[in-house]
Amino acid sequence: MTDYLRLLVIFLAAINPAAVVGGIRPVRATWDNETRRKAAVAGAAIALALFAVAAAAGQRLLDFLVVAPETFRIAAGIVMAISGGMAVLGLRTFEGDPEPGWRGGLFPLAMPLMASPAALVAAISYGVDDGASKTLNAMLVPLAVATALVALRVERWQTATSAISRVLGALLVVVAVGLIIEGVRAI
Amino acid sequence: MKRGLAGTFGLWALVAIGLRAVVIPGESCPVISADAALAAASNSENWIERAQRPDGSYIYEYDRETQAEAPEYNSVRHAGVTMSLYQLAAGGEAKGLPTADRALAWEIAHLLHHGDWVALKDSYDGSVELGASALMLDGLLQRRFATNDASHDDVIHGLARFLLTLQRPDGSFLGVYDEDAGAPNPHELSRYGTGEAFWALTLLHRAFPDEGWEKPARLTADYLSLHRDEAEHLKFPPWADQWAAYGLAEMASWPLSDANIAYARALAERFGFLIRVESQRRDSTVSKLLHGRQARAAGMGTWVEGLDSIYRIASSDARLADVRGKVAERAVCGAGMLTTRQTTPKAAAARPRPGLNEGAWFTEGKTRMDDQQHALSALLNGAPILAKQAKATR
Repeated sequence: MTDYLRLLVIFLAAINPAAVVGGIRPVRATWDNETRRKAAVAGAAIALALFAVAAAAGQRLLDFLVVAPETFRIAAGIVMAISGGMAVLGLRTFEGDPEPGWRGGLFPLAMPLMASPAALVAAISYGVDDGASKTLNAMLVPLAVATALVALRVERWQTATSAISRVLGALLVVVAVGLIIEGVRAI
Repeated sequence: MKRGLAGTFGLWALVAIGLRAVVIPGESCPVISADAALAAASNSENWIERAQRPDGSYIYEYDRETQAEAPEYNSVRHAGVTMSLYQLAAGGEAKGLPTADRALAWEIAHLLHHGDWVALKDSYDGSVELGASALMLDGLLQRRFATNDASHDDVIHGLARFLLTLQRPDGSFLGVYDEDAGAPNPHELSRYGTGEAFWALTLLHRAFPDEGWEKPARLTADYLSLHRDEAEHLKFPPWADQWAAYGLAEMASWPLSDANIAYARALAERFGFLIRVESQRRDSTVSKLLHGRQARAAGMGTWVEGLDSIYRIASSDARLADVRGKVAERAVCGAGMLTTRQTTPKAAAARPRPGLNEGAWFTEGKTRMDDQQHALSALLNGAPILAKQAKATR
């Protein structure tokens, strides 16, 4: 598997477009077509900006925290495993009422659904290990899929998205355990 | 929106604080120079010299709170401490030789003579362990490299033949010779002794290249690399065996097989992880509760010794070149922690019997002679890495 494909699979699980659609459902029902598109684009733009910062500034953050990238993998793996577990169980990932109208694209769509703790720590960890540009490249497709799913009418696929969300959650748990093992086994 | 974001951020912050406290506290790697490492090794040697008794044995363990010396003794650790003094001499610092030679005289007085071999017998419980003889042999060979003195070659060969008596066809070693039965105990292995004996076999090849020590050494190298953890039911493989790393480093130019290299890599990963975890520990109640107490020097020293050895391999074998930088980073971190945790003259002066405090490493108020041994070896072998790093950053 190429580096790009590996990272693509990881970020597909970490961003989990199906879980994003499931999470935004309560507020999405109140949006008209135009609001839905605006919110989706706004959410994706903000999430992308956050990912870019996390991937590019990850090493500086770890230097500031005085933590080796290898050790951070363990912490990132724990966060990702918890997020994956929540997706498998179908648990809600944010507190508070969703914002009405297009502002729902900021909260909860951008944060914490698209730029979830799992996706952000993954962006930091893989950004440090594989480079920021490779990491960001790998995040584009999952983010685009999430944006499209939010912008399009997918209500009738609710059962399918719920199932896919759980499968991707399980995949994230697997990826997370692998990352923890990598963190422990690394020099 | 503000309320929702605040709630979400609040939850994230709590998780982040928890992770920071438990999983990723800051890693503290004190920066030291090669000279500081060598000075600390020399201070350690001074402690060993002061702790030596007139008969050549050492104070086994000292409690600085009660000023009590432990009554027990252990020939394996005696041989290990003595070996570290000869290692220091082979590294160019010969001032510990008289101390080491007095300790060697004690060892020779405690030899068990049997047919064509000799073995170091424990003075405390009378056991005849592989590790004691192997470490005595390691020390004698270091002495030979340091002094070119061949006067103990008969003892060297006697000990070497004892090792071969305990070596099994698969390269593993039995750990104990049963004097009453007149044979090795077939049921007892030693998780330390095998590596100690392996290193001795590799050193024998360097000292006597025409005597065929390469063959038994390679046999054990393959056993350690491929089978030991499973055969001896060692949990969380690989067993963090710095003696094996010493042996592999000695074999680096033979050269090593791919399986040996894979094993060396796995050892580097284990030692590196242990150093990372240790660098997160503090001498505080909270840290002890969350991360356990700081490792004793006899433990951390072995990790640094292992990394020092693997650094030597990585410096000469392209198959490990990719880990050289990280191995150096961890070795230097360990050396820094060891140096800053050593008891300084000032701290020692404030205590009764300052001579048994200065230059020592204490854990929960106690220091054991092998704390000084492993720290000394670690700092001695780590100094060249520190020097190279300093040169590279200049």
